[in-house]
Amino acid sequence: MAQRGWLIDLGRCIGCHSCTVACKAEQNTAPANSPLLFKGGSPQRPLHLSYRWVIVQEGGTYPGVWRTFVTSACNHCQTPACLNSCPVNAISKRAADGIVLIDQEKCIGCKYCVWACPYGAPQWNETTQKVEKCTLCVERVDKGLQPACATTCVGKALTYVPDFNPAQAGQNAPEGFSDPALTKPSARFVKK
Amino acid sequence: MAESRKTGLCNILNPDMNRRRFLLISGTLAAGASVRNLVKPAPVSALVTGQNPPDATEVDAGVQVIMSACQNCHSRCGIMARVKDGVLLKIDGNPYHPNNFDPDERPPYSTSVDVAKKRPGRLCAKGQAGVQVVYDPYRIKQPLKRVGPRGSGQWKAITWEQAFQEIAAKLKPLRDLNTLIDPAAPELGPVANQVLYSAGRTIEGGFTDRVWGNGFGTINKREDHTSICETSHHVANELMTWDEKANRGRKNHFKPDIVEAKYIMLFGSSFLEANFPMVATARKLMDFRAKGGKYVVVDPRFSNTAALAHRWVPVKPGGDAALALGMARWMLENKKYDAKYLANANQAAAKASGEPTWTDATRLVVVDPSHADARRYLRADAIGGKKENYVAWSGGGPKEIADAALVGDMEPGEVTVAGRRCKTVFQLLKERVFSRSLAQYAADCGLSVDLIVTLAGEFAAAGKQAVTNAYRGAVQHTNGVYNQLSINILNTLTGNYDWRGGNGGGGGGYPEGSGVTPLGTVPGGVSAKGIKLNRTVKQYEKDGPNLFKRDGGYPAKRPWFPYATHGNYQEVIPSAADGYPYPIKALITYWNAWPYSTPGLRKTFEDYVKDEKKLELFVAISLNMGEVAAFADYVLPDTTYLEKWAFPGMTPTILTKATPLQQPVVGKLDGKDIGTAPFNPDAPNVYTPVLPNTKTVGDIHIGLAKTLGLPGVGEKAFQDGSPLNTYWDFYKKGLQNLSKNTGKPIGEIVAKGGVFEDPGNEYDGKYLKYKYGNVIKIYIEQLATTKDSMTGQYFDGLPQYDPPKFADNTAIATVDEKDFPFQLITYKMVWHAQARTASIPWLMIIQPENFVEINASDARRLGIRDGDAVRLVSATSPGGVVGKARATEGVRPGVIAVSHHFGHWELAAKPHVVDGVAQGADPSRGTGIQVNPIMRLDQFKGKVLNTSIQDKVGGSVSFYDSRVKLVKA
Repeated sequence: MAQRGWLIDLGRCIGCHSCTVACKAEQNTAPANSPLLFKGGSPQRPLHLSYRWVIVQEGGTYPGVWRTFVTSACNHCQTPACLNSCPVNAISKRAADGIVLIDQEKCIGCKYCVWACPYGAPQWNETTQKVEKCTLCVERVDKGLQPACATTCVGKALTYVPDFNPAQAGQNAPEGFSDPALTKPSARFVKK
Repeated sequence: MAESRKTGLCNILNPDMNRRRFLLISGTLAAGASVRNLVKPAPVSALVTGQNPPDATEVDAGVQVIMSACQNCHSRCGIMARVKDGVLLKIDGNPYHPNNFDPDERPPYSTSVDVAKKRPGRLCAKGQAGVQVVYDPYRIKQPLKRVGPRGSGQWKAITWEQAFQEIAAKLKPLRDLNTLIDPAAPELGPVANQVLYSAGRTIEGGFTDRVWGNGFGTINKREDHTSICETSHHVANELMTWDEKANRGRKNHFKPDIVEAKYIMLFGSSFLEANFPMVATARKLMDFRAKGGKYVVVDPRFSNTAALAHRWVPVKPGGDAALALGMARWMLENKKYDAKYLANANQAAAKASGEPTWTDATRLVVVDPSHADARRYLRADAIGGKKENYVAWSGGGPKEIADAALVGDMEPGEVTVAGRRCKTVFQLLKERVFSRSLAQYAADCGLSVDLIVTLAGEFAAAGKQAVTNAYRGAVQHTNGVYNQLSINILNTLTGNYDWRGGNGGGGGGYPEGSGVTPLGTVPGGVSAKGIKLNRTVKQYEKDGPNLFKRDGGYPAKRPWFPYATHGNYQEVIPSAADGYPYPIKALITYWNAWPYSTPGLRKTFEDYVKDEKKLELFVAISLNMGEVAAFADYVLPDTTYLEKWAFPGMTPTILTKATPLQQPVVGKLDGKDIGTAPFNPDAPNVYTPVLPNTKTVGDIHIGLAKTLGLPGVGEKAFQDGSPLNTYWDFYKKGLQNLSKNTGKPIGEIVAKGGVFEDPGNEYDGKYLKYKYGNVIKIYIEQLATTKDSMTGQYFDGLPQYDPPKFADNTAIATVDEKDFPFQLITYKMVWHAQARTASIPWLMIIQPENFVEINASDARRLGIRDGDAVRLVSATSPGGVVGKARATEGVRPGVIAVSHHFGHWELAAKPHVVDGVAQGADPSRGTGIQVNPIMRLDQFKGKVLNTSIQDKVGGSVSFYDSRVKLVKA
């Protein structure tokens, strides 16, 4: 059985959010076209779903400042916590390539997967009252194309790996990345 | 009709409407338009999709890809638009375009589109978000005529014919090429000059010059935005490469060969953010970094580019030249420069020593201030040679620099030649650099001597693979040109020009302007005469003799800009308001956000344009109801960049040749959805945009020019007698030229989005393949012999650190520092561009508002906490502007940083009314703040002027020298 996955070069993620927008544009995640919301005169992010996002962390004291960027999404784990948490078997892992998917018809919106996933991948959709997440652009990879995010990555930090080596799960993971032993994520990293 | 329009607008206002619905609605809005097939492509599997199915892929049946060029920022990267049934689904990168791929990934040009499209090129967030520019529900959908006072937001819809007729009727009497504006000052030119065309952003200047310059005959034919971008960078590079015979610069832009360089020093030039083309500079910089290259970011703010740098150097804003000259001092003192390179006096000597370029370092300059030739290079006629040749000191005497190889003596001391006391340029540079100590330079730029020495050592150690690059951050200061010249000196000391891994001018493009039909030739066209309203490329005393006499010589009533070769955008409206040097009567704008984008302009702009006695006609060509359009008499809605043609050009980051094509990716050609039929270059190709009652900027110009009866459009518009009735007619000619010049068929050029030289052609051994190959000047004779119109003194001909100053040359800090302790800077985010991206929800969701960013220690001292409302006040904007504070360690103490892009007061942030119906608006476009309106106005001997502080040499407006104070709001 093959396993699809990600290779993320931490020294090359530039925090440009091209992957975030690529995902949004390709997958039409909600809201597809909506103004921001106002509460008490301040703009608020609308309820929105992103299957991929960039984690920005910063610290230090002037002038010794640091800032890091890590692109993040569903890691299509080898032992997915979401799958195990789902009471209605809505979540499956494809035998042929290990892609983890949520069946929208079976999902009952209990959000157990949202709590179970150590990487924040499952996204709650207030409108449908169901959970969605990164599909690894299954409709693209099934046709021999790459996922939208990896296609566009400007810094060449994010690479789609069609034959991920399960033994490399979570290799060189950055600080704060959940223990790879928990779910065996199909993502490995290159150190900064 | 009114009822259905209202229903349509209600639907548009529904926030759940997605982009396909918008298309349906806009189709319905257009009278007579048929409802097209908008069935969403079926999802591949019900199992996997979320609320909305993903887009059909580039290999699915019925999906076509159209290669074009992006303009959601000025990088103009290649794009591959995925369309199905006339709907734009997704935008990716054009795989053939070198902005989007490096040689390791880019396919050869011969690769078929069906193969190449399977691996789309890389593209940034802005580029991909272009879908939401086309399907923006708040675009203007038909021509509008003002019904209330200017700026009242009251409009009525009119036809294009009515718009063209009424505008032409007002312009016609102004097309007077014979009557002088002022008989007492004939140098100002004819009445036609009182019509001014100002494109903020334009890549179609060659086309619009045909209408406004050759057709209408105004000298004010293209007053574009460059002076609010980085114009002093262009000007300094042109002065450094000045061609005396052609009287212009040979090169305005150099970039490091990023991938092969070893050490890059970026001065106010964010390769991972605002610098362009970011998709290429960022990718290459990460390749450079992976190979062990080290780069340094000189910027008062800790940018994302700084976050991945080897060093962040938080320079004092405007102190860039002091840092560069401090480094130069160390390099000169320690002999860490390429003396062999600098001693080459001409091309033959350079060639003999394996150098593609040479310098003026050994040329003699007359230093005797009383001599008639003072400040000029010594010419060889003084020693019996040719007048156009220069003179070096060599072998103990003066030698004419002619064709034979000549190596000069760099430091012969002061020598006397034919009664003139002279020094070499190198000697003068050394004296200038040594006129300040390292400690003084360190104080000027707010850094330590140790750091300057470390940087100089690292830079020098990398030899010709060390490159400095400066952009907006270093040059949009009152001392912009001198900052750029000083930063360039480091490249000149190592002689890195045209070297692999050095500094280069890029591959450029294949010509499309001639070959079959010269596009710039206008039968029956006129050549505009006179002085531009903004007095660029003219000298006050020499070119305006009657004004000079009338106004009593120096100072001029407003500054003149003899070397502002890329215009002066901020001076246009304030000059018109003052009527100096003459009033204008009609203003036509295109893609222009003057009061939003320009420091200190908002009040002057609004006061001026509201006065119909001063400005008789105001027409805005605009996609949306922006800050300029809101005050116009007529708004003519143009199409997006995804619905027009252009040859967008390339940047020097790209080392191979390329001529990309921009073309419509959605809409209809001859009534058929683009992508549903093969492109036929011989068809009429009449274009119908997505909003059928909008027109391309070209078709707007053609319609108006034909109504006016101007030469250059309509029948017999081209030299070969052929007509120009549609925008396609123009680009068909361009494509024929390009096809002839490259041997590629038009069909292939259109299918691949341009002509691109194959990867693998970047280098010529240890050099770049495409070379500048000419002289690099240290001493700028043009400046040394030209007088500052405000002081009557000569400009300085050498690189220098000059603190930020007002027009009368008093230092800003000495006037403002006490009451306004902070220096205000702005910056651009990587996922936004200029004034135009606040309308894009995908981008606004990333960060919904901006902040007043202040160093954490300053915030603590002032008792300001994150989220506090604070008022920023400058000496010329007592009301200031209120924003939310954000304390950060990533800004130099004493500096306040605020991003651009936010705080729109128009752009559909609020509704306007058409035919009594309030149009849709989205207040999220107005979130956050824009600090440009509060920036410091210039002053002269204590009197406040109506323009922001600016660079009198390059013409740049200053974005980074305003002093402000912070008050809790």
